[in-house]
This record gives sequence, C-alpha cells and structure tokens, in this order.
Amino acid sequence: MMQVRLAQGGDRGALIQLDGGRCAGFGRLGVEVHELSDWLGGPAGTGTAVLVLEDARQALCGYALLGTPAVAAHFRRGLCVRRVPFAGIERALPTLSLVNDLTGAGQLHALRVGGGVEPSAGAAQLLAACQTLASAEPDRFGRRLFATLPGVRDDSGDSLLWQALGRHFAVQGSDFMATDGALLAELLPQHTLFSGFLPEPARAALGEVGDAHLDAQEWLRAALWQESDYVDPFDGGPVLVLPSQGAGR
Amino acid sequence: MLVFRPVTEQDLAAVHALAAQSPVGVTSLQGSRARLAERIRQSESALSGDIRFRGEERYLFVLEDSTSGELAGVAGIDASAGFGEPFYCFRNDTLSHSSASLGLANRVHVLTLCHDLSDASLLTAFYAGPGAGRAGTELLSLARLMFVACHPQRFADTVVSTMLGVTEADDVSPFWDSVGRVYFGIDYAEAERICGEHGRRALASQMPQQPIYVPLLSESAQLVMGEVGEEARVGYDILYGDGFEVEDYIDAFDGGPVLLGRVSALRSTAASRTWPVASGAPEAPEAGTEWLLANTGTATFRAVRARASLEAGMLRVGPAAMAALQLGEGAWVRALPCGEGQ
Repeated sequence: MMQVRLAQGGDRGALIQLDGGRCAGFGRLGVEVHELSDWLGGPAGTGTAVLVLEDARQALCGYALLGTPAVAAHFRRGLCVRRVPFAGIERALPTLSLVNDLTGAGQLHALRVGGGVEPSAGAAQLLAACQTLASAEPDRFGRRLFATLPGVRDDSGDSLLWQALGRHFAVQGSDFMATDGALLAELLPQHTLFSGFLPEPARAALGEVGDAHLDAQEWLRAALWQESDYVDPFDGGPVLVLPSQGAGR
Repeated sequence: MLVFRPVTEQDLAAVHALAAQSPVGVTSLQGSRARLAERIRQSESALSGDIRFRGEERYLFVLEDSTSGELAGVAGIDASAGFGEPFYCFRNDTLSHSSASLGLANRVHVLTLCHDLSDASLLTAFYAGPGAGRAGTELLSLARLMFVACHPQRFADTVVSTMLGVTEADDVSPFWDSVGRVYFGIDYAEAERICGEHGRRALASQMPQQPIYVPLLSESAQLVMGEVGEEARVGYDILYGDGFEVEDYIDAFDGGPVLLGRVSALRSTAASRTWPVASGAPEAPEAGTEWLLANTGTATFRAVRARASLEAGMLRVGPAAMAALQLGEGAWVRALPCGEGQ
C-alpha cells in the first residue's frame, strides 16, 4: 500500500537519489542539498512543500514539489480577428501575450514516480495529496494550482520555440531559464505577438508536451487538471490548471 | 518636346493604358478605370478651385509628347497625405527589454504602424513609360515640385514619397510575405489591387497596432526593409538628388523607403526662381544650359525641359518652349537649372 506524506529531514538522501534517477513524470527538485534541507526543515505554512510517496515497504518511490512562485510568466494564447468584408478577408489570427496571470497560484514544479510502483497510481496519490494540501492552505498556494509541462524539442534537444523566438530576445540569459524563468521572461516581447510570425514548427509546438512527458500529462488529466490557454514562454509547453472552488487566482 | 501638364478627362484612356503598365506597387494607379476617372475629376476640380488652404485636393499630371500627342508618363501629388484616411506606414523604432533582477538588457528593432506623416503632402501615382527617357522622367518627377513652389498655399511644408520596395518575379514581395500575408493571407499583388480600388486604409487599418518584432521576420524580409526596388531606382535617385531624405519610415506593404523632403530645402522648390521670359534663346543643343521651366498657372500649368539663358534679368527661351509653356513675351516663368546628372 502506498502513502503520501510531507517530506522530512531524513528523506533528504533518498530524495536526492530519486531526483537523479530515472523516474517517470516531469520536473526536478533541482536544488542544492542545503536548500533542500531548508525546505524540509522549515516551519509549516511557509516556503515550498515537498510531498513524498512511500511504497508498502516505506521506501520513497516518488515526490511532488509544490510552491508558489513570486512571479509566474507565461504566454497566453489568444485570437485577434481581422475582417475586410468587401475583400472577402476574415481571419482569426492566433496571438501570444506575455502575462503574469498565474502569479499567486500554486505551482506543481515537479512530479516524479519510480521505484517499481505503478506510476499512474502513484501519481494519482501524489496529486490528490497536493490538492488537499493546497485546499487547506489557500493563503499559501492560492486558489488554483498549475503545472507547466516541458515542451517539444528537436533531435538535438533544443526547444523549437526557443530557437524561433526566445533566443532573439534573451539569448544571453539562457542560463537563467531553469532557475529564474519568470525574470528572464522580462526580456521577451512585451507586446502581443502574432503567432504567424513564427515558423510553422514552432507554431505547432505551442501547447504541445514533449514525448518524454506525455505520461505526466495523462496523470494530470486523470486528476481533472484542465488544459489552459497558457504555455511556457520558452519552450511552449502546455500549462494545466486545477481550478478550486470559485473563480480567481 | 515633352510637356508636363494637368490631366484632363480626354486623357482617361491613355492614363488607363499607362496605369496598366505601371508596377503593381504603384497603388494609386492600380484601381479600375472608373477609379481613375474619379481621380481625374478630383484633379480638375482641385485645379479650378481658388484654394487658400490645403485640404483634400488631389492633383494629377501627365507627360505628353507634344509632337505625337501620346502620353509618356503620369504623376500626382496629394495636398494632404492623410486627409480622407490616415497615411499609414511603419516607423522603425527600438524597444529596450530589460530585467533589472538579472542585470540584462536588450534593444530590439521593431516596426510600429503609424500615421506620423498624414499631415505632409504626398507624391503619388508616378509612372514614367518607356517614351519618357531619363530626362522626361526627371521632368515628370520634379515638375510636380515646381508646381508646389508656384502654389505653396496648396501644400504642406513637407512632401513625402513612398518608393517601391523590392519585389521578385511574379510580383512577390518578401516583406509582404513576412508581414502582410501573416495578417491577411493574400498575395502582395492582390493586396495592392484591393488598395488600388478601396484605398490603403482598406487593409492598413486592419493591421494590428502592436509593434512588429523585426528579428522574427524572415531574413529576406529584413534584407529588403528600406530598400528601393529596381523599378523605382531612377525615381529615387531623382528625388534624392533634389534633397529628399530617407528617415525612419518604410512602406507598410512592400517595405520600400518613405522619402521626406522639406519644401524649404528642396532644390526644385527652394532653388527655382521666377524671371520674366523673353523669346529668342538659342535652341541649338550646344547653346545655353538646360533648365526645367514652368509657367505659374494652376489649371494651365505647364512645364518643359529646354535650353535657356539668363540675360539682363530675363530668361531667354526658345519659341517652341515658349509655345509649350503657353507664355507670351514678358510673362513670368519659374526656372530651375538642371544640375549634374539632370
């Protein structure tokens, strides 16, 4: 029988081992050991929450990393209609607008399951626990959760959207992409951008999850996380949201 | 002799034929025959009016071979580039994107749709046929500006001219394909046809107001931004030589440069002078110097290129030119000596 609990200081070694191993899902803890110690040792109600999944033998076999970024930056996909009736022109043009709409919402940064358990079952338990935790602490995690899944990359591992868009605006800051993405996004186009200016492969990648993370998308869908109009500003990966009761962020 | 004069209703068929030969980017000549007829009526109306302040007037002139009676070119000038509708073009701008937290900053080249030049007067409808030659093309282009010099109250202090941009075979515009096609999904030639019939506002007003990020345009589009198309090279050289300058603006459709000229600084307007005319100047090719000569009329405006000589405060002009200009002895003529290359 699997169970989920908040991570504790003693989980540090197992978590780091799990983070470096081959687990299905998305995201990484991506932190130094001392930072992870801070998370695990911090008082309840503050900072980032790490939930761990234990198998029947109480061995760690998965984790979820939940937090509330100070700033969340995404492209919101929209439409702009242009009509020239007497010329027979009517076009619904896809647009991208850089927004911080999800600031204040809780973000599922990572969800990983391994260790021989059924991944989808383990993920379902972790996601249910995340939702329970977030519902219990709306001041900490906001009124909805979101997860940004990795987008499509080419054979050499480069993001198609980054190659078409981001590198023109933020290339000198690419090192910050993983850690300070929202800040790096300040260098991206601040005005609404028409997707038609991007090459077809990059357009097709908007809102598409990379093959390696399709299972995570299915787990989230199964847990009733919903597709949204938001995409990652750097690789175009989809953002799934879990609305809580009531509207708002 | 080639004579520059206002268009008349009788010229419609010939002007229509010239318009059919003009490059697809000369929007103001792309409309239907009815549209051209309306344009001619507008010009005749403008020339017959006692205009004290510029407004919606649109003038159209032709270049006529006085021997054959055939038209060799057509050219126009609108008193206000943006009277009935805004004059749309892209302005080259730079935006700074920065992240103070990361200590990073970038400058990004953008194109902003604007109406900055709506208050200027606008050179339009320029097409010199094969019969015009280089000298006739210069006359066709600059005589409009001598008309401005004769009637400054009818025009703005600044004149703008949109030069044809670079196009490839089959009227493909790299700039349009990277910008306009994104918005409208149609070919460049089709866009020009629509604008010729309905005005540039038809499409330009539907172009989004958000800046266009130049790094996202195709490489071929970026290369032709502000570049003059081969078909407009002669016209560009003439205006540039007259004092027009390239500033921060390009055409919103084909990316060709928009030239600006201050009337007070253009050679054809600021350096041309009026003198009383006297008949009898040498007309032999080796005698005198070549001038652009114009009478100072409105509906009777005429301009020619001819040899003349300045003697005792009078400009001596040959009888053929006098006749073409419809001038009598002692009448005033505006004259501009042809400079190098003219």
